[in-house]
Amino acid sequence: MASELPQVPASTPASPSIRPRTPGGSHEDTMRAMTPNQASGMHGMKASKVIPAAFDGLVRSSTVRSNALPAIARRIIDLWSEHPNAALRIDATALGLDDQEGLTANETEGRWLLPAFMAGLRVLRLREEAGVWDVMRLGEELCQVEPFPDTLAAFRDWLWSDGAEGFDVELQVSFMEVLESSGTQASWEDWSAQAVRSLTGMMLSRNMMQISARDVDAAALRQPFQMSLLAFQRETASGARTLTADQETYLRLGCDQGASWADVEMDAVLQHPELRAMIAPDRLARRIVSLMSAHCDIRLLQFLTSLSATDDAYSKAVLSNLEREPLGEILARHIVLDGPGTAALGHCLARSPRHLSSGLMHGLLERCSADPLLMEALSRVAAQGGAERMLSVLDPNRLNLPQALALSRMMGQIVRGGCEMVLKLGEVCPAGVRCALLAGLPSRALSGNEPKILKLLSEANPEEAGPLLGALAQARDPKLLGVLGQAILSSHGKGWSLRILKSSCEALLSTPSGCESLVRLARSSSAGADVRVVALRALERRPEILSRISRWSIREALLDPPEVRERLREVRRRESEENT
Amino acid sequence: MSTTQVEGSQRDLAHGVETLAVVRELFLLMRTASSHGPDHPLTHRAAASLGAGLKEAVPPFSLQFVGRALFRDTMLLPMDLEAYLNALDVGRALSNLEANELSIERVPDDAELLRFGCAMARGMAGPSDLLTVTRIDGLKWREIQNVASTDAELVDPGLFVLTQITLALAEAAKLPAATGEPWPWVAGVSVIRRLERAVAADRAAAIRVMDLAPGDWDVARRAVSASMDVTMVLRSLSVSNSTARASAHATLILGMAGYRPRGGALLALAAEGAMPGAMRAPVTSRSGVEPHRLRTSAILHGLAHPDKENSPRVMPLVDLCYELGKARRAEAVPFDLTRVDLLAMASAQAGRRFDPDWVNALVSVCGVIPPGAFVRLPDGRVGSVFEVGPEGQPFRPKVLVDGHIAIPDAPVSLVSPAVVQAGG
Repeated sequence: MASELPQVPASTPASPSIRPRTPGGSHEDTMRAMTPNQASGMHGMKASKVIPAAFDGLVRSSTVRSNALPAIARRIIDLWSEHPNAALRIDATALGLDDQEGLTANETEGRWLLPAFMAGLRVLRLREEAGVWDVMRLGEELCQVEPFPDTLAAFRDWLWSDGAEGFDVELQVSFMEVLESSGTQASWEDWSAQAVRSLTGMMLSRNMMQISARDVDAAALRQPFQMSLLAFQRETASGARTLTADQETYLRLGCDQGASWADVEMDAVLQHPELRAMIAPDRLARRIVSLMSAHCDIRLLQFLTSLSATDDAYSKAVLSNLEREPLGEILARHIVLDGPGTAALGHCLARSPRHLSSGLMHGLLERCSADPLLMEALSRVAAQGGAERMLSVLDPNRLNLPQALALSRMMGQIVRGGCEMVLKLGEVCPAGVRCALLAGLPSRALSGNEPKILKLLSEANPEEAGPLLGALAQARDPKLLGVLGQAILSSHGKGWSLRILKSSCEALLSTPSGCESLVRLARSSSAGADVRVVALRALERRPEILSRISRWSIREALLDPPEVRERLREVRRRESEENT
Repeated sequence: MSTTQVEGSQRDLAHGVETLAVVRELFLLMRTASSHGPDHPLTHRAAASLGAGLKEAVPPFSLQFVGRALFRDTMLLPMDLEAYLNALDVGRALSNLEANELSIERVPDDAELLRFGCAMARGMAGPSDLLTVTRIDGLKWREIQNVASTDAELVDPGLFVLTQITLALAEAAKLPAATGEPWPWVAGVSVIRRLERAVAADRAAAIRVMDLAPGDWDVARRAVSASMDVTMVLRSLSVSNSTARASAHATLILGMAGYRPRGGALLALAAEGAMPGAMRAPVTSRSGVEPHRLRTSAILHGLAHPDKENSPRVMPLVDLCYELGKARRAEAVPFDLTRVDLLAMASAQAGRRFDPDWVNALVSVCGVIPPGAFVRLPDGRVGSVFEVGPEGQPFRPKVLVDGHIAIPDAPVSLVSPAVVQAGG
């Protein structure tokens, strides 16, 4: 394919004046500049410098077809993804990010900017769904564009035709179009005047004209075309032809519906061997994912179902590529769980391929953690018999803490037998996820599982265990509080968040064994000063117990940290005031 | 590429090199004159070098400094960074001297070139009318009208629209019509891009130009017009570029394949007829078919098989615009309909033949009384609408009548040439 694009051989007589772009340093330099380990200068560098530099590196590395291109492209995506709305602005001699200066063209860097600028390219934005292939593809095109009219036009057409997949591109009027418009002699006013003169002439002579065959035809025209200017004028005056805001939205959304486009484009490819030959299955799969990422709805399922129903090898190849893509998650991001949406979701979970249902469930649970209404809708699907399927498609190793918490809250509160299902699921999950699963269950479901919970808390790191510790503190169940007391003593509160620590200490005050745990914690030299202070503060609400540890001792003077000593002094001062 | 083409292309490149050398010498003369003054030997040497460079470049020729680009005899010149920066400075100085084009008829002598270099040095400092009172034998210069600044893009929108649509029509006239030949995608893209630019620059002007341009409503013009209608509607709704462009291109292909000198084929037949040509064209992109071509082909395919469920919402719009283009020069009637006639027809058939939402959208972008429509003013005069009426007063548009713009003080009424002739 490359040979079909206009190329200028380096040996043409004109080439001496067109300085070839120097690959200068190419990917090694780029990688050095971009690898976080080596680039001490990279840390703290502004994105406005790093992203343009990385992009320039990509183009220069494309010139020498470096093996490092995929890594460079991946790095660009990672860097850019941290600034999702950032726009790379292309000028003839500079490359910037948003309004900030980035890179200035010189002997080695940014030589591709001028031709790209001449072709009309002004702004590039990375789309969320962009992949390594997309970035490499653009780099390859940019490294090949030369400042010759044919090449510029081909590059401009390629950009215009959405060739730069994965990017939003802004193109300006090209230099050629500006020149075309200069010195134009034609005049609309002249044409208009001429047309009006001819019309007026007809009108003036109307009374003297006989009805000709042409006029009869004209009169007849009104009937078959059902055209009446008067009626149209009346209709428009009454506002009947006004486009409402709702209609506008309906039309706009309908035009860019990803599932519909995926369907019709796929259909066209399948029906026309010529098109099949022009687009490989993996590329079509990537395009479908890209379409879905922008706009999609539950119709995605219908599309995939129809695709899997065919025996055609090409369709199967597309489907197999799609199975590697996160379609379920994409659908989960867009799906609206209104009445029909909820019904379709139940259907989708029951019928669709496992990879799709799995992605869908994970995506929905992610959304549920921030959207109570969605949680309600999902609960309805679970309560109507979808619960087992939901759990069966979940991948325990992909479940994260917010997802796990949302899942167990939903299952524990609404679905009959949900608690048992969650406990069973928890058995195969990592410790942190298991903690989150248990945390979402009602306290009655935790009773009887104390030894398991204690073991789990010893396995999970404090941050992951946080939700479960919070749930135990709120449980007010003496047995569960006993578990909490043991957990706090065995860990010495290390790594616990202040909020969890405070609420746990407060909760432990409600039982004698809990109070005993607090006393031991306040005295423990293994516990941090801040933990001991929190325990002391909690015990201040139980002066009769606090007095057991507030008496001065040589140990306090020699071993206790200043914060604890200060707190104990304050306690004693208050006790003395109260006694006097 | 034939031998003649290769020779031509090599000659162009050689001219490019020599021309860039001229610009470099011009730049050096200008800078030297500015820094060392006209009497310094270096300045004299720079003038002599420019003279030699001009001789190498083989006059006569002209240089245009437009936007931030450099053209030789209106052919864009390839530049590297250094040449670009030189050309930018020379162009800026010339622009300050109220000139964008330099014509070299023959090589002036060194003294004349020195004088010109000094004038350029004055231009470097800021705006000046020095060149208006300077005459150099063999050199001419002029300001290119309608290019308002060296920052490109700044062209009078009305004129820009007029140029783009005129060129789009000219290019469309060369497209294959109902021949089954491979569809020239690049040429099609060029037409759509021009329409897109025109609509973005000034929608009302685009409608006026399209409707009142001289010439017949032949197949190509109707196809371009239908395509522009699709572009206008989708742009007004802020539909994505991909969809808007593909829909417009599909409409153009359909028009070229389906329209006849009068009337045309049914939409589905036109789509079916267009498919082989659209498919057969070779792919030029390195990565295979571009997304634009894929989507355009998919629209044609979808229209050829209208029974498909879940079709994109844009299909009925393509249908509407295609049918209006067909009706513009309807079969069995010996004259053409105007835009307002077509809108009236679409409106009357909304909800039956045409999707009412799309009819509303089209009426909304064209205006109730669209630019270019003929109207009768309250005083009885007839004119053509220049600009749609102000918000809330669509029946009081600006009207071009007797060479002047009139703003009617009462509502105007629509006049159709067909209706007038028929005694309506």
